[in-house]
Amino acid sequence: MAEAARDIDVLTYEQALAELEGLIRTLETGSVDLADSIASYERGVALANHCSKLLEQTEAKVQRLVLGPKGEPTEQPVELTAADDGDEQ
Amino acid sequence: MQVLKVGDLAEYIEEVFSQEQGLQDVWVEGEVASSTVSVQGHCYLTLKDERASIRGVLFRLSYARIGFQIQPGMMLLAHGRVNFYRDRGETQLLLDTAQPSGVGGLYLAFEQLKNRLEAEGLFDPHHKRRPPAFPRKVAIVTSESGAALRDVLKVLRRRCPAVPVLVVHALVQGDVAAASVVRALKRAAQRPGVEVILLVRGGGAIEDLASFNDEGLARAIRACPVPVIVGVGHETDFTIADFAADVRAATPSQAAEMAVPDQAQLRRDVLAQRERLNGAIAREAATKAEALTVLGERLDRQSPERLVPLMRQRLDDRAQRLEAALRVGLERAAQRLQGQSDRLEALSPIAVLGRGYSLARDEQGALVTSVVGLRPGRRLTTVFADGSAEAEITAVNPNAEADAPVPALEPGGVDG
Repeated sequence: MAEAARDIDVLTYEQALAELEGLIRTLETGSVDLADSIASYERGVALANHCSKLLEQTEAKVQRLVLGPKGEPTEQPVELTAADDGDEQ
Repeated sequence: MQVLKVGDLAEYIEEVFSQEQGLQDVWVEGEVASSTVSVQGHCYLTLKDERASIRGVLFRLSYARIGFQIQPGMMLLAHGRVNFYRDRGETQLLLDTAQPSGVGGLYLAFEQLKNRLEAEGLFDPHHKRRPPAFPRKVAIVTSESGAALRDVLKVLRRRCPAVPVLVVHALVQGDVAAASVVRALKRAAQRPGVEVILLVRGGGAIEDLASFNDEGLARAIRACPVPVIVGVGHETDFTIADFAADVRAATPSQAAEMAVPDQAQLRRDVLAQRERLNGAIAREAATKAEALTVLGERLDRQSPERLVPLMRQRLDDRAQRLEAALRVGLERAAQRLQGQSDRLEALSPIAVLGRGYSLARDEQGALVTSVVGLRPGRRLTTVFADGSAEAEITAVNPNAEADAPVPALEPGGVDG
């Protein structure tokens, strides 16, 4: 289970959702092996949890790319001021 | 005084012209006063402004290459060198290229570039990439001071704050804008995790959009390893960048809408998938349980608990049959016995008595078969077929030949 969770961690939301959907379809057609079904279900839950985790973030993370003294690019956080929250004009 | 022939003078002027550096690489702008195209395909024209006019020619190949027709009245920006045409004694421009200038001209130039890049396949829909629905990171290439950036950030934060944003500043106006945008695009694409780039700017007049109508930028968009969504100001005309983009948005805000998913909707999607998953496993479990029940029932039918009564029943059945068989056997035996007893009856001494015999028993009921032991005075019971009679022995007369020794029994010795 721990192994499975680790490989799920690197999945993008789309990959995880696609796998989840495929897995549900397989489950819905009914498999022969109960152990397979349970394993599928457990992986499905892990995939759904991964998707949910990716959706947890509710504070936007905004950074700006700046060039250092030697021209090397680095990312700096942008402080979003209230002005940025203004009307869409 | 040196007198020159006309030809010599013309040659001299020609030589001076050809050696004058300032005449070899000339950009000139003016209104087309007249233009004709010869049967060979060369375009002869006159450029003028309020102070002067000068003749020029674009030879067939160069004229074909510029992609538009030169017509009187249009403003032209032309390039070439100046020479002296001896036959006519005229100064003329030998042009190698020309492009329209001014608003109308820019539009023509735009059309020309668009047609050329389109013919080259740069706008081919088959080459357009679909950005991921849920990118790991979104890069925004735009001016940090522009309203477009604020619009985009606002939409991204509202719609999907889960996706991190990287702002990459670029000049979007002015001579160096195109090069600045190209550089920013490259930098943005190199940042780890960036899966879609928003190239946005506010709208403007066609002159202001020059950087987005740049051939170099169009090629940079196509060469960019990450899909590019282009969104230029409020639904004005298309720019070349719009055509080259993987996805074209009408405005910067729309570009932002297209770049990220609706997070709230995704939450509902995941919830729905969870429900489907739970439903599927529940149905699966129910199906398995049902199969198990069926198997259990089948197994149950083989269980001792069920088998014992069944066997007991069978046993009872057998026992009954055995009992019945025994009863029949007994009855038969009884019948046979009856038959035998009838036959026995026939042989019975009682029956003999009927024929006139009688028998005697002593006081103990023992059959008296001999005179031996009998003494006068003893009582005997004589049994007949139809009854008995008590008798007293008055004499004992053994047969002569029955010379059995009479034991010297004491009288009454038998009685003990």
